[in-house]
Parts: sequence; structure tokens; C-alpha cells
Amino acid sequence: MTEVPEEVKKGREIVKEIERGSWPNFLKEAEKTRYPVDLYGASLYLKRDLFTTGGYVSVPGAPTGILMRVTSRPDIGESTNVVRVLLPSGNFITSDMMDKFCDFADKFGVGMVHALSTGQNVEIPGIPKDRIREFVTEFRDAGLEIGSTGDAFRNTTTCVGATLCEYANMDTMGMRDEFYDKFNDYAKYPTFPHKMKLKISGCPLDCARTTQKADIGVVGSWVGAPIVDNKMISSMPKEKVDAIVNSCPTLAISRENGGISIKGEDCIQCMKCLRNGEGAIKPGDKKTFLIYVGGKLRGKKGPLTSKLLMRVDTKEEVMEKLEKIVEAFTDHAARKERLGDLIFRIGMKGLLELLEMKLQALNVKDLRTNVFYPVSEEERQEIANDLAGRGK
Amino acid sequence: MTERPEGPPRPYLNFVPDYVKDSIGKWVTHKMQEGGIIEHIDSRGKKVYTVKAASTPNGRYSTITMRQITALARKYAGATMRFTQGLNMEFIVGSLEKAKALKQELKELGFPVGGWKEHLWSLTSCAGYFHCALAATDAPSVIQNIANSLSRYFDEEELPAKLTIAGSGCPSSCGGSFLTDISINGIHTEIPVITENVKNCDLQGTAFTCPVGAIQLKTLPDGGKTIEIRESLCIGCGLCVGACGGIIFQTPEKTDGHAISIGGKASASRYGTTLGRIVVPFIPNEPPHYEKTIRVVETIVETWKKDAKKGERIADWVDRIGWEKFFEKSGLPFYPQSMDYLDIRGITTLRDGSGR
Repeated sequence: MTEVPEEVKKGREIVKEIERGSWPNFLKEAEKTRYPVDLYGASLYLKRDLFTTGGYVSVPGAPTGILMRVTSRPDIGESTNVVRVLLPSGNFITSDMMDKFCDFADKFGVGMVHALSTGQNVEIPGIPKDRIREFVTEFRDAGLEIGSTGDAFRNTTTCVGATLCEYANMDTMGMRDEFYDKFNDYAKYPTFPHKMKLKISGCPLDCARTTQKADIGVVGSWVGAPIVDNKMISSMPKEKVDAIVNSCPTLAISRENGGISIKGEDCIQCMKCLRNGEGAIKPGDKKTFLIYVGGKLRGKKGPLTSKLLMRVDTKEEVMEKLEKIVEAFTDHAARKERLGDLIFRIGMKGLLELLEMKLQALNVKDLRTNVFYPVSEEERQEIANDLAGRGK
Repeated sequence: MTERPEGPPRPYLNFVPDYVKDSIGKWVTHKMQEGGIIEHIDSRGKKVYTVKAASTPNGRYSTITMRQITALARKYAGATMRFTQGLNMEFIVGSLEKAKALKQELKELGFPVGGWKEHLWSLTSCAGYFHCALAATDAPSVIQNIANSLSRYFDEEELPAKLTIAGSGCPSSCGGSFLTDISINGIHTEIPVITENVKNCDLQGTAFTCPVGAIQLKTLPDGGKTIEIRESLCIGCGLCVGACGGIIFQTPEKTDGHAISIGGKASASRYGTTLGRIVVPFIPNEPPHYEKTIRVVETIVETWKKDAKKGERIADWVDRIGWEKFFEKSGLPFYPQSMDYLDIRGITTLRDGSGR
């Protein structure tokens, strides 16, 4: 009988402490499985990560989807390689499908499923290196697909969109399906300088967090005023109508014969009145798509929000631009440089040039506050021509 | 032989409950029924209900528990369920009676039901030491402790507005920190050292990963190449450690900890998308209970709860009162290290003009 190492004993005490409390507990869950809880406890005690990346398994048909995690203390716990599973759009999982994941986790893994990672995938941890091939073959034969690792398009996430939400300007989940129909190779083969993420939100409330962490974000929006059902408004109590009118940050809403009217040119699509409207106000019917680029958390220049690239009118144009952006990214980004870092290096102007576009007032939040600018002869002519005859 | 799939299972219509299908695109409004149950109404007056339950902080479940959950989905929710961005479980149910019964059963299984409107919405976390290879510090255990201390805000007590919390074990922010109202960000705080194994790395590539240009290529007397880290420039971000196995943190157990940031949100309402701002630049890593971290988080939540107007998320609240008042009201000390370290002089984050 070998002696239990000190760090394991101390680790077990720490784990026991963390298992207290009323909230659903991940360690209590882990105790019901064959996951090496001792290893986790020991790393908490040692304050050191006891896993390293390493090892490589070549699996036919699965260039992405496998994360190798090797233990650096095999005496305490085993390696827990992870397989990442792609889910249907909107993360809708049928009970049969989830049960199948559980079956695979019991058969190959440690009896644990990672029900959702922050990248919106299911992960099955604890698969031994020598069984990964067998796992992938069986898994794909069951009609399920793994993916979303490496320098490829990671899992595309969406909000629920039109499926369950009245604010949606488009069918986000359908758009995700279409993306995978068209560009599955981008997602499957890791051929990019760094990972890319596409996120799709149905309205400017942005539940899919496109403006925060999407390399390419698509937000469904509209132009002009929202549609008002004045019959419903007139039957509302006065305070509620007041709340709607006062919620507008640009003062675009005015009262009109017992109802309200919204001035389209003043509307900034902030969704405030829709949220207060209880169904009486709907998004406008002239739909557009906003494309954002360069959001990220990880990497060189720290967390960056996505910047508005352009506004397009059709889904086809979105897909077309997406392909162009990916091309520009693969051609010009350095190795391990995210799109946001590329923009940081070459500027939005630089990216737009690669896309054969020009910087417009649409892209700008603020203008510069200094006068320095070496004007070239061409620009001198261009500006002079532009401004000739204005102001008369 | 069965045909093997390419890409995720599609089309999505195969996976949503039948009673939702004919209402897609026809929804008119939604309203809260009771804690954790939302009623969706479509243009013909048809109603469905979404029930939302909390999850474990990092989404790990034993297959035993997961099978119990799928059984509930089978019994009440058309044999389908979804997980949200905030790792919560959502079940779409056809009637209010079923929704209430499901709520009861979920509670009996140990999952709080709630998390909408002016409540704590979600707690997310990365893998941390649980199975990540790059973690600077652990995240799920921190979030587990925060969840225990703030659980009453999920289904019982009200807050001024929505509150989301996330924790990540390193600056990669896989747990979604910086995106949420309060974030725990694991950080490396030491300057990495170069070991012999560096000769196996792509040296130029490694030098390029450095955001502050602190890595320099050097030629050895024998003609070989190596790299050098200029300590005066290094900000300890750890990117080179991830890029090259020959660069390591020597004593992570002594120096790791986390920074706390507040005010991240994606919502377009009021002031738009923001990322979290670092208010506490370093708290040492102290398992199992992380008392100092919990105290800071509780202080921020209590101060915000007392001072904010209804509907103001933390970012909106701080934007209204300004950072000086934030530190005054919360009693948290202000550290100059909260200024932007990548923009070393922090010019862009200094105050200008006479207002806030």
C-alpha cells in the first residue's frame, strides 16, 4: 500500500470545503464520476496547474475537435483528453441526443459531460489517448460531429432569434445552419493564422455577445422607425405610455391623438421602447444586417470590442463579405494574430483597404483633435473638387 | 454504413419542440409569470413557457445527473432543452401547469429556478485547474464560492438590474470575464524565465506575440539564436508562455491571483457595449473560500444595490456617478495599477474636462 502524498490529503480537505453551500456544485458532480478529483484538489493546494497540453492523435475525418490534456502527476490522476461536440443551432439539445452523449461519456470517458462550455459546445472529458480514434469513428457513425478547436472557425453561436423571441429581425438559427452549409471547411480544417469566431444576434440587444467577443459579428437590425400598434398603446394605462415616451434617449417619440409616433430619422435602434412596449412596438420592417469585426478577449492587445464594419441589406451580402474578410485575414494576419490584433496593427483604414472599401462616417465614433496631416497632391485635388460649389 | 455528418446537426427545426414550430417568427410579446417562468405569446394568442434553472458554475455534470435532467425534459418539455450563453438550463414547456410542476421538480433536484429581470442572471467559469493546461489560477472554485454567497439574488431578493458574473483562470478570459457586470480574471504576476527548451520554439513567432516588444532575438557566440526578455518592459501577460514551451513561470504558487473588473455588458441599452474595467488589480489566490475576493464582490454588489436607480446596470451606474464616487461609496481603495497597463502611461483612461 503506497502512502497518499501530502498534497492529495490537503487537497481533499480543500475540496470538501468547496463542496459546502447550496448552489449546484461541480465538485459534488465530479465525485459521482471517475474524474480525478484528487488531482484537482492537489492543484488547488499546490496552486499549480497539473495539466499540460501535449500528445497528438491523428484521427481521419476529425482535424478539429480534440483537446489533449496530459497530467503532469500521473501518480495522482490520469490525463483527461477532451472531445468537443458541435450542437444544433441555438444549443437546442434533444433528450435522445444528450442521452447519447452520456452513453459515450460512460463508455469512453469518465462518466462526465461538460454540458456547455463558454464557447457553447458540449465537451466529453476523460477519453484515453488510445481510444480517441475509436470514439470519433463511433461518434460520427451515430450522426454526431466534433469540432471547434484549433485555428479554424470555432463554433458559431447565435441567440434564439425568431424561434422564441419577438425582437428578432432575422432567423439567426437558420443563418447559422446556412453558414455551416456553405463554409463547413472553414470550421473543419485549421488553416487560419489564429482562431476565428462568428456570432449572430437577431437584434441590437445582442444576446449572442457579437459586439464583445466575435471576430465577425452579425447583428440583425432595421432602418427607420419601429412599427407601433397604436390600438394597443391607447388601451395602455398612462404611466406605461409615459415610460415608453420617456425611455427614448434621442427624444424621437411624441404623442399623437391618444397614441404615439416615432420619428424614423431620429431612431437609433436602441430597443428601449420595444422593451417597455409589451408587444405594442415591433422592430421596423426595413431590415438590415450590421457586420462587426475584431472583437476578442484573448491575445496580444488584450480584450477589444468589435467595431462596426458596414451595414448590408441581404443575407447573401453578409455571406459574401464574410468570405472577403476571411480572405483578408488569412492573407495578412501574422501567425497567432486575431483579427482584432490585425486591425490594431494596420488600422480599420487598412482593413477596409484590403476589402476594397473606404472608411466612412458610419465607422467613426469620434474624430481626431489635432490638425497634423501631410496632404498629397491627389488628395489636395480631390478635396478641392469635392468642396467646389458647396455652400452656395 | 451510415453517412457521417459534416458540421453540426441541421436543420435546427428538428431539435425545437413541436409546439414552438408554427409560432416561429410570429411572437408578439413575453411576460414574467413568476420567478423563473416566462410566458411567450404569439400573434394568434398561443402561449408557451420557458423555465430557467441555474447550472453548476462551470457546466460539469455527472452522467447520472444529466440523465435525470434529460428525463425531466422528456416528461415536460417536448424531449428537448437548451443551455443558454450564461450556462443556465432552459426548458420550453407547453402549459403553465407543466411549467410549475417542472419548476418544483428542478428545485427538488437541487437546481434553483429564477434568474430573470432584476436578479442575478448567470455565473460562468472557465475550466481552471479542472482541466486547462494554461490556467494561472483556479476559476470554478472562486465562482462556486461567489454563487453560494450571492445565491439569494438568483431567485429571492431583487437587485437594481440584471447582474452577471464570470470568472476566468487566466487573461485568455475563456470564462467570459470582462463581458459581465462583475468578472474575476486570473492573472500571472511574475516575469517568465527562459529555459533551455527555448531552442525548440519558433523564436521570431514567439517574439511577435509580445504585446509590448519585451522579447528580443539574440545571437549566441556560437552562432545559435535565442531570445531574451527585457524585464523593465514585461507586463507578465503570459502570451509567450503559451506560445513557447521553453518559457515558463517559475513560481506560480507564490504569485498567482486574480483581478476584479466591473461593468462589462453587451446590451445596447443606454450606454451600449462595454468591457469590464479593472477595479481591484490583484487579490492573492486563497482556496478554499477566497474570503478577500468574496468580500470585494459583496461590497460592490451591496453598494450598487443601495445606490443605483432601478434599471441601472453596474456600468450605467458607474457611468452616472463617476469613478471617484465609486471608490468613495464602496470604500474600496483605489490603486494606480488599475490604469491601462498596455497603454503604459494610461493617457486614454485619464479624466479630462470638468465633468466626470
